Amino acid sequence: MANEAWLIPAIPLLVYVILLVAGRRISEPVVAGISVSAVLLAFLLAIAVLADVAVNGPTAPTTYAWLDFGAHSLTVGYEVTMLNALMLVVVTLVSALVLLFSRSYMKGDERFSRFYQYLNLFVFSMLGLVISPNLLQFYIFWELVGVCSYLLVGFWYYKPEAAAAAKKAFIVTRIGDVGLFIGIILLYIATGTFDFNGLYTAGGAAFSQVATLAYHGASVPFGMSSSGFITLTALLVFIGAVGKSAQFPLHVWLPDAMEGPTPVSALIHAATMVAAGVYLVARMQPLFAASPVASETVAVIGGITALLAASIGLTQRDIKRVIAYSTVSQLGYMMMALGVGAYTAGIFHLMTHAFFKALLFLTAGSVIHALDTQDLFSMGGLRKKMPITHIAFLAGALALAGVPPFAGFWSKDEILSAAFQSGHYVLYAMGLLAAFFTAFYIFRVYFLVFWGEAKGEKHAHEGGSAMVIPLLVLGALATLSGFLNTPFDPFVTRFLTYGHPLGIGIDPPASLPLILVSVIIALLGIWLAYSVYGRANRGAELAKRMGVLYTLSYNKFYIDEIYHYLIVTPIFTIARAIAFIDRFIIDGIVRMLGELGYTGGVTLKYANTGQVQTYGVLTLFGLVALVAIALGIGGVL
Amino acid sequence: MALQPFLALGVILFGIGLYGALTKRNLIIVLISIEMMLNASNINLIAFSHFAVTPNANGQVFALFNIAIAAAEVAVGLAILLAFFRLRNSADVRDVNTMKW
Amino acid sequence: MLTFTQVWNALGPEIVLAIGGFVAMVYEFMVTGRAKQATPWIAVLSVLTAIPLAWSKLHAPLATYSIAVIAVDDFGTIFSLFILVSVLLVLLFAIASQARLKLAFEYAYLVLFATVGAMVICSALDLVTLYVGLELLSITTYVLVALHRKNVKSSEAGLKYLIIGSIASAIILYGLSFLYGVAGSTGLSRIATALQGGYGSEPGLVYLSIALILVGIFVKISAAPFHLWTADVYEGAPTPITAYLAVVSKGAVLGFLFRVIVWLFGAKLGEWFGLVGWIAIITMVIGNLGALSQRNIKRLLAYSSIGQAGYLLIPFSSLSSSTLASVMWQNLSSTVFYLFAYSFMTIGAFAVFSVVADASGSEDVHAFTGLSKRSPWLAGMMTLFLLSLSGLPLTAGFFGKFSIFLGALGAGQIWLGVVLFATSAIAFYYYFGIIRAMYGRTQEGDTPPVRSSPMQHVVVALCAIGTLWLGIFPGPVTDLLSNLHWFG
Repeated sequence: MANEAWLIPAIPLLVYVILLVAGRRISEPVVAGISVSAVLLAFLLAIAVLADVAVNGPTAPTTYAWLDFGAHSLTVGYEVTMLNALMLVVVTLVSALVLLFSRSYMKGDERFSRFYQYLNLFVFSMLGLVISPNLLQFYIFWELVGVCSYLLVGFWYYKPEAAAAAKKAFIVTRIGDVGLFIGIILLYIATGTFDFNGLYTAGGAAFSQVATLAYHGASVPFGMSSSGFITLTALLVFIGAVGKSAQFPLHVWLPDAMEGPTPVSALIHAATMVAAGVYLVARMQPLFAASPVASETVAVIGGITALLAASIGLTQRDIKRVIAYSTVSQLGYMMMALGVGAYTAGIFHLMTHAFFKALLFLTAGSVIHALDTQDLFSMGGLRKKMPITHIAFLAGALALAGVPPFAGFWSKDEILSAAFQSGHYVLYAMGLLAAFFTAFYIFRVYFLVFWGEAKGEKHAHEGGSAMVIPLLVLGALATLSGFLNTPFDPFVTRFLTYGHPLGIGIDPPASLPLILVSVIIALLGIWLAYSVYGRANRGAELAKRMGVLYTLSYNKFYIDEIYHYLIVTPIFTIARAIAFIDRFIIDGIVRMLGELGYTGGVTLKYANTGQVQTYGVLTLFGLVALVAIALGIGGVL
Repeated sequence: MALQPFLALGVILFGIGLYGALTKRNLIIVLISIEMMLNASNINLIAFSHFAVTPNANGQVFALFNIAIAAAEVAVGLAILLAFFRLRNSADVRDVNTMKW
Repeated sequence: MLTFTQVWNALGPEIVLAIGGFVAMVYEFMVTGRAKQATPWIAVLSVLTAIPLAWSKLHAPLATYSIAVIAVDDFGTIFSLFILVSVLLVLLFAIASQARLKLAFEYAYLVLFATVGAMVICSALDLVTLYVGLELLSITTYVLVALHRKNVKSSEAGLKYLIIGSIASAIILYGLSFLYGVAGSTGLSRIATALQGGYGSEPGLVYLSIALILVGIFVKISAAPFHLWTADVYEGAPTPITAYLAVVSKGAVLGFLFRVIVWLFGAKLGEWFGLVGWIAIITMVIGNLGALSQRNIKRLLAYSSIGQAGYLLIPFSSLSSSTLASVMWQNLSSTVFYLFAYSFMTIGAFAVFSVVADASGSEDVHAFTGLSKRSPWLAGMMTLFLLSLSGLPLTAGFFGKFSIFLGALGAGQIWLGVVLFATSAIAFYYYFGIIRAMYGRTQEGDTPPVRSSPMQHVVVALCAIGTLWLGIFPGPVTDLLSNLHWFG
């Protein structure tokens, strides 16, 4: 079955072409029907491929010659490894559900079929990226993913924010792409191959022999030591991942990308765009493993991102922004996992995160669809009106917060314990603090949206079955998928490490105290959120109803005050400060680079005086300079 | 006679031509100055042709071609200048400035 | 004694073009009214005849004729092919927009004569021939730029181009005269022989002459800081002529640069290539930054073409890294590949621009507002060309840049590669301004509908096919290039 893996990306591509040609003439249900069933078919194929490799192990890449230029020859093809078999399943599953959800979310949009067209192209690009057997093909799909995200984030182009966000997403990730591309080329120059296999199967050993593999008779390019060269290339590759996976300091595009339609956010955040960066680092694991400096950098950047984004998430008012920052934060965890060497934990978290984050986004979409607002403080009391959404969101929130037995608990805990057991105590502490923040902010959202009293006149109700089914499926996955890789039965780990005698990514055994600490931290965060947002909003009601409890409640309120001044206020102040720094300084620096270029452009523009003799004089200066240099080179001057 | 004085003459002529082309306000003078730059090269070529280790006529032929080319260039220049003059009623190089920035 | 066959073998395409030019000229004089519209088709016909002739010269045994005035080698032939293909596109483009622009029909044979010059400078082996070819190209393009006699901008652009171009020619000529002086011959191969052991008694003169020649060439291909004329001239010239300047003129002068410098100095000039590398860096940065602040699309494309000139200088500077012939062939291949890519995407972009600017009567970026609604086909094609210009994968521009990049890194000139990609990232910014205008919000009020002739669509489609073909299946072209015997 794995030999037919090329069908998986081909199916959405086919649908894309069909919609491109006939999109306007087909009615909405048919467009959605074709797309959903096609991606479902791709999902079934992916399952078959997964089953195949689970039994028979990874396949050798199938490649076709594409072109030769000079001494270089390039190939295209596909390859199924354990890692990308798993990715295929996750991507197709989440995409199919998002496509189904969009059926009602985008209903009546004048460019409905265009939307599905882009989504299919997006899914195709991501699947193509996943099964690429070499870095060049990977890079092409990587860019294609970027283009699709541009199209989709800016789908509502008539909103100026959406257009700006789309442009920002594309340009910020381009910064990363430059690094990635240079890294790819450097690797090519050193090893003479773009194939992952050439880099991968030999594991770390290949990279220490970069010098002997060197191309063009030169040793390691630019006269570097081979370890320095490996570190350089690994860091360059990582820059690409930083851009795509929204790691600090290139994370600024992701929260803005919320301007796109919510299903797009779900797709970008869960399965496609941002996962590409993590996948890249995972796929290049041997390279990173060969360079301790690069690995440490990955881990530290991941840790910083996890904590920073989580603390920003504490104070946001826009429901989608909170979830967006939580994505950045969770991606930070994944990077941290890959950095500390817990390869499977990182991938496992990628998988569970895809499920519960898609779930959170789709429930948020459902809420937004019902209320027509994204402001948390104008929501409330939806528990009764939207019971399914409520349960689904709760499942997603519990998974995100890391409460057992929900999916996020198992994967996040693996990462934290890997960080601890590999001796990264600071990162562990950061991760733990971020976990606390995570539990707090997501339950802040939960209590504000679903508890308390309903606000606004709009009559909230559940969406149609197209909206509910994906929520149910994802809810089940967010609840149960953690059991795929428990310390008692690490199925995913066994699967991913199939045929890797080197033992890449075997995680340390779980330890009970660590598990207890994370659970306590998560519950603490939830409780704090409850006491600040859950109960206080109902304070008056409680007081009226119960006498004895009232006193208790009063006492608790006293504790709340202490909390408020000792914990909540400082945390919020810091969070606001970080959000401020993030928005005005980090984003500002990114923007300043743009401004700098623009100012340079304007300055240059005014050099263009329109006076031809001025041009001549400048030419004369150039002439004099060049003649002087020439005579200098010639040793005459 | 030595080669150097001719080369010096060429440099001087080239310099005067370049100076004129870049500073004179009258477009016709600018065109004439460019002709002077070309003639500086012709002097060089003919001098080199005469003083070469094995004197040959290549340089002189080259110079002849250059004279023809220079004539064509100045003819085209004057024609465009005429068209410009009809439109702007000016032959001042500073008026060639509608397009900038 | 030369036989006609020999001349024909060496200069067949040039002869066809020159004859075609004269026929078109006489025809244009003789007829009046609508019959004049056939003039450009005579030009197209002669280009179509010349292309197979030039093609048949590929892989022909190396030969030099008439005391080595002209070389028949694959370098000259492939440049001639590039020039011919681009001229064909430019001519079709001019025919398509003739009615709107009210172009005088003289352009047909002027373009042919300029093209003869362009082809001669890529294959000439003698200073006299080289210079005559260069001036044939330059003087004819001065006239072409000023073709709109009733238009101030056009005449003004013509004057500016004439003044700067003639100064550049004079500087080149001055440089050539010293070269002749040092070597005592105008034949490139004799000069090369003379320069082989040291630079004779007057090394200073050699360096001086190279510096002069390089400056002249930099002016003509609009490398910074010699680029200032570009935006003005490109803006004022009739759009098809702008495309001609940007593509044919620039490509041919680049061929001149390779021909003269490589032929004369071979691998001995490592030091120069570093200098050219710096010029390339300055050009890439200035061209792309300059484009950022432009609102007029023609000027924006002019600045972008300055940036492209910077990219095109990279392979030249990478030649130095090694005396290995394979490195030189590799870099020549990437230059030619990029030239072809550049030709398709630039002419395509100018062609779409011309249609759009005619429709709205404005050359500003606003002219593109809502184009996706008014003409989805043109908007899509423009997007393709712009993405290719900015080097996105699966377009010709990507592979062009990619192979240039490989060459630069292979030469150890990592900074050139880094600047190449960094400036491409800047380029995204301004190209996206256009794309956003096309797909963005339609402005209030009425936007004029786009009226376009079938001919315009043909040009755009041809360029699009070229761009996509070189982007997706570059194999045949790269194979062809890697099998060339560049200098015999």
